[in-house]
Amino acid sequence: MDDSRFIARMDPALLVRDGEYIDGVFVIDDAAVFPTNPRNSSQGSRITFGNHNNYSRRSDEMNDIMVTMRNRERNFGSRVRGQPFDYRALKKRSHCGNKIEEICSICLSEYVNGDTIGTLHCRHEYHATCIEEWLQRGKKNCPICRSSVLPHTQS
Amino acid sequence: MVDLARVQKELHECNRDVQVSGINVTLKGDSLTHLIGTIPGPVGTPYEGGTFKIDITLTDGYPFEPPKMKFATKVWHPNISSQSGAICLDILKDQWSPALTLKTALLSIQALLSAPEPDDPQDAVVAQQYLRDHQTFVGTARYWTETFAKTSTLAADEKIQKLVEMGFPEAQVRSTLEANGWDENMALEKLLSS
Repeated sequence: MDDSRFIARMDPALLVRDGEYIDGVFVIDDAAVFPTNPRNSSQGSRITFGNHNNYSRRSDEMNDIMVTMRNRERNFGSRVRGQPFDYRALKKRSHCGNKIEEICSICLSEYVNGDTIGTLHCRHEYHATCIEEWLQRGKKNCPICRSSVLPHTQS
Repeated sequence: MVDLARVQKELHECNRDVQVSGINVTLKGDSLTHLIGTIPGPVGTPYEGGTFKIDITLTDGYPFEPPKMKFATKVWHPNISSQSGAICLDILKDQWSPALTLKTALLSIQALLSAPEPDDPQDAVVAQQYLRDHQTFVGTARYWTETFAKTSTLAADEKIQKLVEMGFPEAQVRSTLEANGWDENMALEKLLSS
């Protein structure tokens, strides 16, 4: 499965509105372009729902998604009460790197072998302790791409 | 607790490419939590040619909490208070992310200078003028830049000349003076220790 389809399945709410940045994803004409995905071509990947050519942009389904999106948007970066959210579901692994130098975007330190790395749904990685501190503050978005970390987006 | 190790890394990183970005961050005193950022006014705007100082305070919780930033240099801009220097910018408030840095925040402020958002003003008077009498706005903004954000070029040239005669390269002298608010003694100290 290619990357774009994987992300689309995980979080359809990422794929709304035309021609603007939503959660770090540039969305054009019911399709999303992931400009920073290193696996994709320089053009980024395009994702479409169903048959793109005869897709009615203002269909009910689309409206539903847009409402979800707006609600979601309001919740980004804010402390939302009463919403079940279990950040302990963070995927963790131990760093074992022979790759070229990688740094955690939160503490700006290099990963050292044995460090525990936490990975969010969007696949952005941090030291587990660093990202946990962010999430413990009630934040529900990825610091790099701002996509949601809420559990119902899990695959 | 402020993550001081991170702040040190940021300072190092930011000052490494100051020649490219024009963005500089230095300590205000002895503490790593009080800093001064400098940004050049963007070319093609009424702020062109000015050097703007930003007062930076890091609160407990940085980088999980945004840095507190305000203009120390007086500036005429719809999203910056002409009185207090307070900045209306989302990433300094609820849109802050720990993946941002002092440098990227300063770059965002520089971008704000290029692209005012009068519909979300910090200074209502300036915003009104921006919308209703743009010509006057540009004139005032330019005048404020000339008056508050420029070091007199004559005095600056003299200072540069003096340090160049001591044997330091001119580019380095200029950037060090800029970084230290054109304080000759501080610049000399920095040059000697670099």
